[in-house]
Amino acid sequence: MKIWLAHHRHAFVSSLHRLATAPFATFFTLVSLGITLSLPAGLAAGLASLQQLADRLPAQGTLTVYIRTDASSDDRAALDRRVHALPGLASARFISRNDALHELSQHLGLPDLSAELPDNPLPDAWQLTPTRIDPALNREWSERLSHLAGVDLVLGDQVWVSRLNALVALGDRLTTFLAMLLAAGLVTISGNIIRLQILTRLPEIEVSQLIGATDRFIQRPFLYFGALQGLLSGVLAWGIVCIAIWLATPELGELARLYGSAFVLGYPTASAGLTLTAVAAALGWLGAWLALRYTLLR
Amino acid sequence: MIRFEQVSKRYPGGHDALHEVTLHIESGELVFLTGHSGAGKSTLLKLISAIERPTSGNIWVNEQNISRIRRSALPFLRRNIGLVFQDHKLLFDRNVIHNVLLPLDIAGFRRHDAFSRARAALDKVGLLDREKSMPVALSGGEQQRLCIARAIVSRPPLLLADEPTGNLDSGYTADIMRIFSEFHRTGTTVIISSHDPSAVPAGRQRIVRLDHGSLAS
Repeated sequence: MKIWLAHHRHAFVSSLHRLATAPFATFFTLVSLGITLSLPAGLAAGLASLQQLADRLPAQGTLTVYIRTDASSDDRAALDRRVHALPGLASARFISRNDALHELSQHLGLPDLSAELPDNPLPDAWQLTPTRIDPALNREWSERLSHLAGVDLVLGDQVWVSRLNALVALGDRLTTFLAMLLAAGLVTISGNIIRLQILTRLPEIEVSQLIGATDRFIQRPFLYFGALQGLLSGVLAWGIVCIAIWLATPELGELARLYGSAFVLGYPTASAGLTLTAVAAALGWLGAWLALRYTLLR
Repeated sequence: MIRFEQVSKRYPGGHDALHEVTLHIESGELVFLTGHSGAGKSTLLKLISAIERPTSGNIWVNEQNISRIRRSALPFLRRNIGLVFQDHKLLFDRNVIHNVLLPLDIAGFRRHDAFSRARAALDKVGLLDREKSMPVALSGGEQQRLCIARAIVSRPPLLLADEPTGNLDSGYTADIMRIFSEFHRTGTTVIISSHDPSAVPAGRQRIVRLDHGSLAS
């Protein structure tokens, strides 16, 4: 156990030492790896903010059913029953035409609107909120209700919901693809650096094998080096993303304000940043492992 | 300690380096391996340290049959063998003492103990005052002594030296032979190969002569 710890300490210190003795090479490598990683990380951060915006939207796939003014009380009772039998219904709110007019006058800031209108032009309506945002559910509800007697119009924001969802899904897919591509890039870059290191250190490896070094002993410093390199580039990518968000925030805030939105580009959370560094370290390690597999143990 | 039973070695390409060699070396012996170049001396030493595998026959080192030793068991065999190479195989990217520290790092010695052991080994070969030098600054004889220091630093029970005096003039040769015999006196089994009969010091040590891959005496 003590020997094992000593070996690990030795490997770790020697890989740190190697990073430090070639500061320029280390710097360039880390920058290239960091930029590579920051692209998917930045995209993921932007997407997370967009997803948050979508979740916070007031319209949660709400459907409004407008009732004909000449609907009979039987039709209204039938509609009432049908509404409450809908699958996936979170809440159903009946808005009478008087309440609707009252709300409208308040919203417009015209308290005597009802007095000025000769007749209330608004219909009674049901406002239906589903338990989840799901365009398919909205369509199903719309189909079930729009043919009923007494129903004038079923209006939903499902088109808009669909578009946003499709956009987020596309972004998600794109980020995943980009992340996978650049992860492969990171593994390749890391692996290639380790491969070159192995080649320059072949004499040491040969002598070590001749005097009783195990494969693990020989591989360990390279694996540490790869993981350390990945870890540092992950931290760097985290920093790059934070700086980019910090730089973009004033302009983005202004843009969002002009659109009357409260959209804020959020910084990556601590857990997201730590995940990024951990994944980067793992990828660096993987690169080193592959390089060892194909250069050393052939 | 070492037993060869009908050992043959044929290299890829058909060159027969050793042919049906049967040999027994006791623990604590000092053996000189002589013969013309190409007689199979290096091959014999490489077979003992399992750098090469025999084509046929069995080789026993410390009661372990190493003819078909597993790759994962190799390091532990090698840790009991000190190897001295004709071309030294020093690492030129580190100084003298760090070259000697390498086997101790591999064996997992504590840093402090490792340094004192490495200094003792350097003292034995007369290089203690050069511990901070780089190997490139050493003469041929000093490089060979450094190689010996690295081979003996972990105090292996078996020391193999392949043409340790091959490139050295006679003054250095006597120096190095003296180091080997001192080491032998502490109980270590020592096998030294040399194509030059004049390198073998006068004495009662055993001489094994190889001729075209077979034992000559």
